[in-house]
Amino acid sequence: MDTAALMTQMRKGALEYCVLALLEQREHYGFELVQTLSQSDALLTTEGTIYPLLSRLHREGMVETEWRESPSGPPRKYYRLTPDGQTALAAFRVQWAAFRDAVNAILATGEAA
Amino acid sequence: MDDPVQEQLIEAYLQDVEASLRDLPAMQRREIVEDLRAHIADAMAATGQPNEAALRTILDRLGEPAELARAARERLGVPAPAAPVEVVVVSRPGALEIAAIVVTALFFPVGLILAAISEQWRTRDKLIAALIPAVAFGLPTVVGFAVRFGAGMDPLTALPFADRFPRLFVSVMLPLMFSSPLLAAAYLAVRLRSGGRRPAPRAITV
Repeated sequence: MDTAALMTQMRKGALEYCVLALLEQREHYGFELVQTLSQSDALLTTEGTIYPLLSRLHREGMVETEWRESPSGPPRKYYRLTPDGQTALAAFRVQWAAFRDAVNAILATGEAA
Repeated sequence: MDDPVQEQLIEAYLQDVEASLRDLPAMQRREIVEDLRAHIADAMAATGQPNEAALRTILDRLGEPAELARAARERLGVPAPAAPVEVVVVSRPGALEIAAIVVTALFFPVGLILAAISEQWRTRDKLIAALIPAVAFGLPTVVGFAVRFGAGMDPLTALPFADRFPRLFVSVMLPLMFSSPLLAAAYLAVRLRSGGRRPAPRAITV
């Protein structure tokens, strides 16, 4: 697997938890989420793909939405973390830490050799 | 946004997205399109200069409609429509097949050759059809040789099977030999109906 394809796979897996983590801090509307996630090229390359993801998180009950008037244009849809989303995020945090540590440890032995 | 050129760009983009998502449930498709519309409005408001160049940049960053559709399908668990579809071609039996069946019943060697030429039967069915008369005609000879061999006779000079076992030959072997071409023809006719649907040699991407 070449690096680009690998990164696509990893990004796909991690992105939804990054969204949940951002929503844990406070509610966001779509464009806000994209702005934050796009600051790092590693996370979101095709910005529009966030909306199918948000749609799925909504259907799965991880987030809830609310339309609110915007001062600058058409109404905005705000996303908020639900208790289910909170639980999923907490579980991912634990697993991610273990995964990251395990990979780092192996990569470090490779470097030392 | 009042600029008609920009309006047109946005509508064209959203229509492309909607078209490439047409296999999604209507609700989800509409939701994604509306989310993108809101995103574009917010992004334009956020740029200092909401001109056409800014809009094109925003659309570029959102991604190609096809790429968006691919990601949407993946995220929403909808199978890609580009998957190869097995096309089943229902081919009808023609003159060759009818001739093969009729001639097999009348004079099976020629009929079976006609059947072998046709593509309406599987190879397995052609072999089975050929085996029916082959066994029926071959059996007396094989059994005859075996019996004569077992009796310690010279198989080539001994009496033919029919003369040694006339009753068995007339009551079993002969009817079998006479009916075998009809059986083979009947078998071909039956397999023609069930074997006529065959997958196209090459899958076609729709």
